[in-house]
Amino acid sequence: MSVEDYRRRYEAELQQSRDAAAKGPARAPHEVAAATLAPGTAAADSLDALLGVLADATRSDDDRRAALISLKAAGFQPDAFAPYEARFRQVLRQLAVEPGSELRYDALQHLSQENDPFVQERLLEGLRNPATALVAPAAALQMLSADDHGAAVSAARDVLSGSSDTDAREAALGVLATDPTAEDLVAGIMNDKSEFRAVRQAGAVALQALNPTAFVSAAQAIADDDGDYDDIREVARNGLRITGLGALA
Amino acid sequence: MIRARDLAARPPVTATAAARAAWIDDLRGQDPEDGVWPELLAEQDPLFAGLSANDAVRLRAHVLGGFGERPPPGILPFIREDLTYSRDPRAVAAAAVALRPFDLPDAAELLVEALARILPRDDIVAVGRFAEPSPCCAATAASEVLTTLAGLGVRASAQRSAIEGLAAWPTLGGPVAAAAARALAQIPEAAPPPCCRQAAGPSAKPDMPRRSVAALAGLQLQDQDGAACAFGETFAGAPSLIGFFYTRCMNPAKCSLTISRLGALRREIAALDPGLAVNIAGVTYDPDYDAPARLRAFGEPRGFSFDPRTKLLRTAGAFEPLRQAFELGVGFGPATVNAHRLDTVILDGDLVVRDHIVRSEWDVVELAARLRELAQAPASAGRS
Repeated sequence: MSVEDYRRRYEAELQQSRDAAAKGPARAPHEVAAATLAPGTAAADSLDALLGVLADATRSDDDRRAALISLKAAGFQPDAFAPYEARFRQVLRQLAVEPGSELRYDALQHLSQENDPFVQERLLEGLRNPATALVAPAAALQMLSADDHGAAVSAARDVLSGSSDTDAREAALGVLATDPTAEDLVAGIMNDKSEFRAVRQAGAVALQALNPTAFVSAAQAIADDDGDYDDIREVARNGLRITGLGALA
Repeated sequence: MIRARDLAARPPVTATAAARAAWIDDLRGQDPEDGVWPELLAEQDPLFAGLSANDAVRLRAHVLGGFGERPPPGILPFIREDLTYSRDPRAVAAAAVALRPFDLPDAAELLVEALARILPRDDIVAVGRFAEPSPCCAATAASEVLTTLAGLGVRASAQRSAIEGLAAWPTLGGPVAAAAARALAQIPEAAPPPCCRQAAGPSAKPDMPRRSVAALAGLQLQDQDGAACAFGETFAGAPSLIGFFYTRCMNPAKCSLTISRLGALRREIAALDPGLAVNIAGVTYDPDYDAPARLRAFGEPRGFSFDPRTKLLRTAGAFEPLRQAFELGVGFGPATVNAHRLDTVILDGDLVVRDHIVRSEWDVVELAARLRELAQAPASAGRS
């Protein structure tokens, strides 16, 4: 059976179960969802099959991508999907390090959103040792920025102090946008005329998240500075307009 | 033998989590006295300073899971808290293993609750080893919990049907299925005598004398509207209940629930006596991030109705004076909190600590009555 068939069967079974549930005694939506995906039901068998397809490296990337999309969609019913979560995570971890897999990025992205320690460790190791990197530094930092509890703060500071990779520097500022102790560093980058302009813009966004008041003051100074670049001054004006706090708003 | 007061300086704040784990392993080899370990497990211990939340929970699980057959009794509150609240497989597995040598009356209930919480997040673990477990390892967090349940035998009988239900979940496979089968084989259906089932109540911090925090009176705070207020001005003159939290907390059973319960407490007090002068406040651990707008946005959807005696607050400067004065169980990483326990404090109108509930939820009705009693007590009654 193809993945598309599994998906159709799963959706049909889900609908059938919902219809049956609607005719029975009143139940909360999450209870209906949990009952329709309960282990042993036909819809649950389809989820098992989808997990099998996703884990099977001999299947085509298209099949596995379709399985991944269906499983992610099933995850929107958290109570019902809970019994499959642990196995889904293990399969995604396998995908995240599978050589040559087109789905690696998707798996890394999904797991990093959940602050998965296995993936965080590998992304950080890739930043320390590029030979082992699963993705480019900017992508790794962007993924690690989902953790606002400090997993990548040190790596982000290292990138800002030692790398000229513009994309990585931008992504590093995304990480520091949740670190109140980085306010001065971020403000310094926003004001630094020798810095890449895209990086200065990322600095402005980060400062706005960290301290809107400090952002307004820095943005006002840039907007008033005839010696600064026009596009940067425009970004500053836009920021002030959006916050509604600046003199130029 | 190393005594708690002689404990050497912890590894530097720049040390990696792995280096700190190696330091713990080395310490174990030096036969430290039991009192060392509760100190090292405390969230605020310098052992965890500067680590990310992920590294902090991993290191703490390494400490908790490495005691073998002779765990020090002082670690029980930590085991109980992890089994009650943690959503991290490493922490739950370590607590389940550390619990085995103890004879805790409500062990089976705690373990079954932990099992239900951890199954969707189950993961391969290697309790007692800091290194990342290999995928071929023979244990997961759920299997460790089930193994501890199996060891309880008849003492887990009341939980047998719950275990059967949870064992029917699709799991990570072999280790969990095998541990579930062993648990069900070792736990008979007969119920234990009623005398063995005791509910565990909230734990007041033992050995904590009533003490004044009047020295904090001048500490500057800011509320959810940005209004400045001093600690004394906010809390003196009427009894107060203060819960600690931060808006970025990842565990919905901790800070989010704390604020919801503070809101419920205010409603309960209003129902008891609408005119009663009692202060209810949540104070954030993370003042640099939790700006007034964030405090308001966190409180409103949780039913926390702001008024002059019901506020969410942050310190205008550092949080450290509050941490020290209340001996709060909170540690900080590079960006924010990396671990915290539940801390709830009741102050009387003279800024004397009358109760300090740690590592546990509290009962809204019970505390409302307690606050009313304090509010109605004569001004000098019960003060130390």
